Amino acid sequence: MIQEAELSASAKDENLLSVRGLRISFVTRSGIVQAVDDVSFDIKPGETLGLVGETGCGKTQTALAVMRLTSETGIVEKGEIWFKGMNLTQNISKEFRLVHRRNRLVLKRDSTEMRRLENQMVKIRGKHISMVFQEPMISLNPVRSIGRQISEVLLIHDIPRLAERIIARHDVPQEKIDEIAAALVGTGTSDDRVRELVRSYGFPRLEEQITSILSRQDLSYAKRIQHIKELKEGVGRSSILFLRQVSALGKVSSTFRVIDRLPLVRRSFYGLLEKEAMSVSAELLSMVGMSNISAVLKQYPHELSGGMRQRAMIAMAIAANPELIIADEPTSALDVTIQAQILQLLGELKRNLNTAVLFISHDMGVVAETCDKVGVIYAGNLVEIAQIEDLFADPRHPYTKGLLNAIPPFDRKVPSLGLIPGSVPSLTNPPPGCRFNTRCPFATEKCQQAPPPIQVKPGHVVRCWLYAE
Amino acid sequence: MQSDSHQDQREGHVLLQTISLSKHFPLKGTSLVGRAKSIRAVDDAEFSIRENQVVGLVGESGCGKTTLGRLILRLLEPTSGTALFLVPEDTLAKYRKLAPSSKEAKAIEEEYSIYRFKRKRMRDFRKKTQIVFQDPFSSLDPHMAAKDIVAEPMRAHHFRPKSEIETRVANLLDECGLGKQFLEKLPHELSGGQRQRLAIARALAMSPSLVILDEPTSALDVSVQAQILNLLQRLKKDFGLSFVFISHHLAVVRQMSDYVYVMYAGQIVEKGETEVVFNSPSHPYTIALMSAIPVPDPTNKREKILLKGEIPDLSKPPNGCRFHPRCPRALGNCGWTADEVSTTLSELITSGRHPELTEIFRSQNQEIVDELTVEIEAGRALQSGEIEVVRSAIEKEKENPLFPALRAVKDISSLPDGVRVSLIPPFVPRFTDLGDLHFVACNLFPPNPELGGD
Amino acid sequence: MARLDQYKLTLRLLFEDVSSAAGLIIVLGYVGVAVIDAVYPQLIGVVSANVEIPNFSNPVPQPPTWPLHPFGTTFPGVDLYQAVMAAIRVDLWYSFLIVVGGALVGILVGVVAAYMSGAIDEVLMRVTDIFLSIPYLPFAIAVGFVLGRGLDELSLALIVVWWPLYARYARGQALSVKENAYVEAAKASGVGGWGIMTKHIVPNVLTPIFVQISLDLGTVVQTFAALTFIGFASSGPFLPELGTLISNGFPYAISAPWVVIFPGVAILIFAVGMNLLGDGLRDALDPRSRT
Repeated sequence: MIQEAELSASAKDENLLSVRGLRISFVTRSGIVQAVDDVSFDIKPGETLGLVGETGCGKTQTALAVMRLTSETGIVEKGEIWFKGMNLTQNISKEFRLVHRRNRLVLKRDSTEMRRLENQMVKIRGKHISMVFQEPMISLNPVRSIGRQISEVLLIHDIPRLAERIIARHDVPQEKIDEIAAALVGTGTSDDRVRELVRSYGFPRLEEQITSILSRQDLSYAKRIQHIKELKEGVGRSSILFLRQVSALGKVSSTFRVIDRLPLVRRSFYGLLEKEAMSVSAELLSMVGMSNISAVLKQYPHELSGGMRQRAMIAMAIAANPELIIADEPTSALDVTIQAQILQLLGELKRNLNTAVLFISHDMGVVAETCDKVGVIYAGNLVEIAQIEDLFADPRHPYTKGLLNAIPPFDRKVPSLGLIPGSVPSLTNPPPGCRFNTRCPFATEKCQQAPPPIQVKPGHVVRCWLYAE
Repeated sequence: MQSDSHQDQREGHVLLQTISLSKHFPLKGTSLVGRAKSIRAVDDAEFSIRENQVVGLVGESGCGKTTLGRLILRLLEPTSGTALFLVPEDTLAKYRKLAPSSKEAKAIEEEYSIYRFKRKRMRDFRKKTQIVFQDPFSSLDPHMAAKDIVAEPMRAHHFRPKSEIETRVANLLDECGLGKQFLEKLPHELSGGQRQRLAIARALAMSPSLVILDEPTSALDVSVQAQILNLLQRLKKDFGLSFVFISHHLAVVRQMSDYVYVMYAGQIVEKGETEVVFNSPSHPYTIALMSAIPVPDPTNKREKILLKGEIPDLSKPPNGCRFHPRCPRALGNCGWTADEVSTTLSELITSGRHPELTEIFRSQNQEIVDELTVEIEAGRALQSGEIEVVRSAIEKEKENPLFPALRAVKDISSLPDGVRVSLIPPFVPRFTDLGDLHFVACNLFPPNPELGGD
Repeated sequence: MARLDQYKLTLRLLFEDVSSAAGLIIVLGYVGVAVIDAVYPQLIGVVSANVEIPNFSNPVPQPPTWPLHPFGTTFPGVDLYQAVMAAIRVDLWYSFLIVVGGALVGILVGVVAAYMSGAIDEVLMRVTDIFLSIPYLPFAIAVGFVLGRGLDELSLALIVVWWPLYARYARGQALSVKENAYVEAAKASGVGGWGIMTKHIVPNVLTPIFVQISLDLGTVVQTFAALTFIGFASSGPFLPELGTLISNGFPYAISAPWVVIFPGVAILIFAVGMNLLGDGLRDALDPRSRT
């Protein structure tokens, strides 16, 4: 029974991210490369979707397109990307034109449209959607310390939160803080009990700060209590004015920016925010399981090991509390035992922060352990998408089956590994219709036409004529 | 010298056997005073391989497997130790019993050690041993066409008759799945899988007996990897080759190897027949490694053993067993240093789990007297009850995975201004024969004196 | 053949960008002039190959007239057009000689130093440093003093001054090329040290050096002309060389500006053209722009 998977407008609303019919092409000297063609998927809030496929299949390009980070020679030719009800690709076709120049196609862009789309994305990147890359050594700035890099995220995207934290501390009298600290000794560090306690004292705005300090694994318990006692520091009246304005405005007003530059005043306002950002950075590093935090804050990326760098990247990614994190092969460059640590960390963060994740990987094992739903991409086509248990238990698309057969099973030797004959087709002149038809053992004439998405089970969609009636 | 007869005596000779092989890389720019630091990349490796065998070398980065592979091929000179090539069984047995500096031992080395080969014997060795690298991009000269790349070793070894070189090149490429149209292609015109096939063809040019495969499929996609692995298996059978298969990918190693060596931080920690080691891993590192591997089976929700910490700095490897700081089952004599114990004691005292301890040692001053003694300052002599308190606190926390170093505490005695903590001396793990040609180097197994009885 | 396609691609890339195409055309123009002047000078209106026939009837520089003296004449009565055309050939020849000579020596030293490393590397690099510290002007004068002030001697002096730059550059490139796995593979295949250096390291070092050479040619032409201008190689009655021409005409510069303008512009255009070509080559040979 064919059931074309069509989504109504309302379905788009309950999804955090909706991608529909995405086509990404690159203009090269040898022609137009259709890197991604007709890819559609949804991510609900808090859900982890895996995109799995081999090199060059377009999974990374898809993710980059969501963030509008496609390189200059690439264009989103067709399709829509909806995020939180906002159309990120509105009128995107107005942005570019393909012109013929000396019997080649050349890309021309309209700068006003570019700016409009870019301005829209700037508000989203880092704050609502953040990204974790594969190679932390090249994605981290080598000449800035870790602390400053994480602080930067906060200072750009979340200044009001920093201001509010300082104000919250200022508004609480010191004796109350001492009381809370005394009461905390011996309660242990379970978040719920701590929150209860703090709330019982009637200072809800302090909750976040106190719980994050208490969960700092790198400090001894005694030190943590001490940090809590020292929470309140002297903040001048003018500074409080400044902070309240920041909190109300949502940013640092230009007046204060000017005042802050004057000789005697010199960054005493903005400096407050920087200091606060550094404290939050320490808390974030603790959340990602970093050891020796006070040292790491001052260190540079090359002084850290691979696993620690990746933790720092993850800290940067969660800093502004995004709704969606795009992780592009975040553990592929790490050793197996370190990878296990990072994957466990990602699982914890997922549970605690309820962030949605778009997880890109070529490793089926990693995907099996981290994702709720997974989509298989071959040569730019999304050939199958299903809930995770379903895909491994009941793969439908011939490519998916071939891929799973080619993986050496860990628990035993097999006489020989499953092969998919042939090789990935060139994406400049892709095969018509289903791009797997050149290698598929079940290919027929019909496969020269692109198969529609067919729902074989609830939540399991395949693009293959084998399942049409 | 440790015995390494983990393989049954089937043939009369061993293809290659390393004995106490070590490689230390000197660190430049170390201080003028004090010992020069070096990176102890491989330490005391006992490795062997026979004809028609595939031996797997697994481990994570920095474990030394790549260095060991290079040493076996003499692409690196060792710091100490030797590697004997095509050595008869009985000679090998004799060699092990000899003192290293004896004349007979030196004579045997002169004849069989690859590090003694010069000119003709070295050239022969290069013909018989080859390597395929991990990165199919940088292992091929971007300016050379495929046919020249494969012909290069033949030309270097003056293959005669010259007229046959072309045919042989075409045949080799064909065996590796690359047809005639690939002869003139430059590396950047080939895909990753094709490049690796080219590299394999090059390795086979002079009909070697031993090929080192250094992560041959780690840079390739899963489906391409399957093709290459199947190719390697077929070539092994058709050409009677032996492989040293270096990889961090355990499933692949299990698929390809007859024997496997597990390496950590420059040392071999476990070795044996592949099926035996994989079915009953014994070294805690091997167990953790296997549990860490993500398995493509979402229903398999097994408990993973998560190792804390990082792979150690090889210029200052941990004392005793190099795995002990991360080992979930470390014993007291696995190599805890006074430093490690001292740090752990501080953590215990400031943790707040034993307020009495925090009270007694308020100043938290410690002094490391020597490798096996730590003194904690209390500002006064302890009363008899207090020593008991300290002893029982430490005893209680020994099993706590947060304070493993406490297991090294042997005795606590009183001092005029505090206590003295003495430690159990470390015992370097030796290889234990678990039967079935399965060996493990771990203090959890005899002959560790701490285990009692042995 | 794959190699040929690579060259064709480079050419196509050069022509796509306006400035590098201009540079290429200029340089080709100059090379063309030089070649024609050597082989069939009459084609461009040069009467005799090397030495100009002074017009003693009027040694004072005459302004340009068409069609007899398109560039005018210069002291001592020489047709400036023919002089400049001949001079281009001379200058180009010597410039190539200097740069290529310096590059050859430099590459040899640099690659050997990088591959052998250790003591040999140290020694070679210190020698390079010594030569690098030689200021070219006094050195050229000293060489002129000792060996004589001909153009060949001047070229030798400049080669000696020029090669250390290439040695440094080549060594840097060679050090990174050396780390590639294909060098190790060649070693494992039994290729000897010398074979590795010549077959693997040098070819992979050449590409960036090539770019450097093309950029340097512009500089060398100017340096060469500058040295001849201040009086080097002024032995002999007359020498078709751009710097010498300027020097000869200098006393008349105010009253007869064309005597310095034409040779000067000839140098300028060549230097600019070479620079544009060098830049264009660098971009064209960049692997990223070739896909």
